[in-house]
Amino acid sequence: MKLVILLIGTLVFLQAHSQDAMKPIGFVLQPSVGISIPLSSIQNGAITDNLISNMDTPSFYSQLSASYFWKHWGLGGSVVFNASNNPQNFVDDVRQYYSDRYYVNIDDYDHNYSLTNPVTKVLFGLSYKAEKKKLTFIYKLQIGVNRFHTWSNEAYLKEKNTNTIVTLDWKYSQMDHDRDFFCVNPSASIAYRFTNRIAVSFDIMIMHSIGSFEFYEVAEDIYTHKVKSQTFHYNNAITELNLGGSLVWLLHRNNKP
Amino acid sequence: MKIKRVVVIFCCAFAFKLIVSCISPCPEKLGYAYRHSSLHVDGLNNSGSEPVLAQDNVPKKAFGIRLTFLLEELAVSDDALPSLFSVTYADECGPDFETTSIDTIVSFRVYTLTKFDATHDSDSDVSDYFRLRSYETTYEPISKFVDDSDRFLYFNFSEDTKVIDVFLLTPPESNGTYNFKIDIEFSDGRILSAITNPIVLN
Repeated sequence: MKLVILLIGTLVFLQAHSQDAMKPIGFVLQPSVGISIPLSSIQNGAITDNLISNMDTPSFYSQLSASYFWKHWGLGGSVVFNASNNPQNFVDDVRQYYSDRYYVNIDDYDHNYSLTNPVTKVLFGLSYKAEKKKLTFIYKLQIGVNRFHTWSNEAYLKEKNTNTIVTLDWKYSQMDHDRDFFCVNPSASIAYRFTNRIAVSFDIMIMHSIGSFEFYEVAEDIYTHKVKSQTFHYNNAITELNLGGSLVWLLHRNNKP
Repeated sequence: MKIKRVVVIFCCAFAFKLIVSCISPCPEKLGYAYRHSSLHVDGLNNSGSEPVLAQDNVPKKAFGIRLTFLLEELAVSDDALPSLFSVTYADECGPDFETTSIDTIVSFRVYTLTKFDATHDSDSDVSDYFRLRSYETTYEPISKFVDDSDRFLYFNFSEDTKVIDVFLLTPPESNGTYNFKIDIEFSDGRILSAITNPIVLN
């Protein structure tokens, strides 16, 4: 509570001491955080869904974006980090799916995995700004890559009441486990300037990523050596709605900060 | 001047001892030799996640046999040489103990003592119906069993038994009471035999 009061007090103080005539913005540095809501996900209900680090449930994101403006138009780039799916969810799915018939032996993952391996998006594109007194509207249309991770895994299943043992392998279709999807990112921010250099903004953006890959599942009875394999195709577009807020640092043309 | 000589001599002696300590060869290992002295077999129930000793009834698709060998310690060799210097064994010296078997399994057969199926009457060899489980995810035919007892190295000789589990992968056609005889032939020509208790496979 003290922190909130201190923050509000600081903003009121800054506003009181800001100059009445706001200078035109030349450069914007915009660190932001928010929530990412999936509108459509690549997951399609297969057991391998949780071997993909891209989450199909709401998650936190953080972003750092920068834009340079000439007059209204500008160029900019962004780096976005989304919380990652935890492959332990896959392990839990496998145990739940097969536990009626089998004793499942599969290795666990580190529970902190999602914190240390975020989904990363790198974007570049056009920016447009419109300033109206203390309000600044920033629109962007960026393209780039959405890089996420996929995991391979294996388990062996001991059938209940028999000596039968089945090995299961889930393999990604390519050697490189990092997958890059093409990404389009339209966004809009409305920023309120407390001073010539500092503003806060509300951001809304759409992340639309397209690409495709496959997972293979191979099941083998270790006695009969009968093999059963199936392929899971992933070619759904990933669409996310990101809602967040930024603390915006502004520089002015022909003016040092 | 005399003090200087004493210091030099002391330093030389210290350096010599240090070098001898560091380059000393690894000590001779204590060598234990053993042989397989007797064999005991039990029925296994592999219905659960791990096999357990069977009681009277076992699902026929989950039956196995546990072979327990009693290992007899024969001799201990200690060839370590005395040294005037304490040694550091800076090299990788491995375990202090080396335990080897003087006999290895060369033949491994399983016989049914009751009629098993249409092609296997009583006293038939049903070894091909059983498998050894190795590395948890492999079933090896008994005929391919390679006894590596003579290459076993233990850090200490704490175990006096050796256990081998075999599992029935081709169950009998009909339910009933079965028992099996195990014949193990060793490299020294000895044959150890044991018979399982009658067990109802259903």
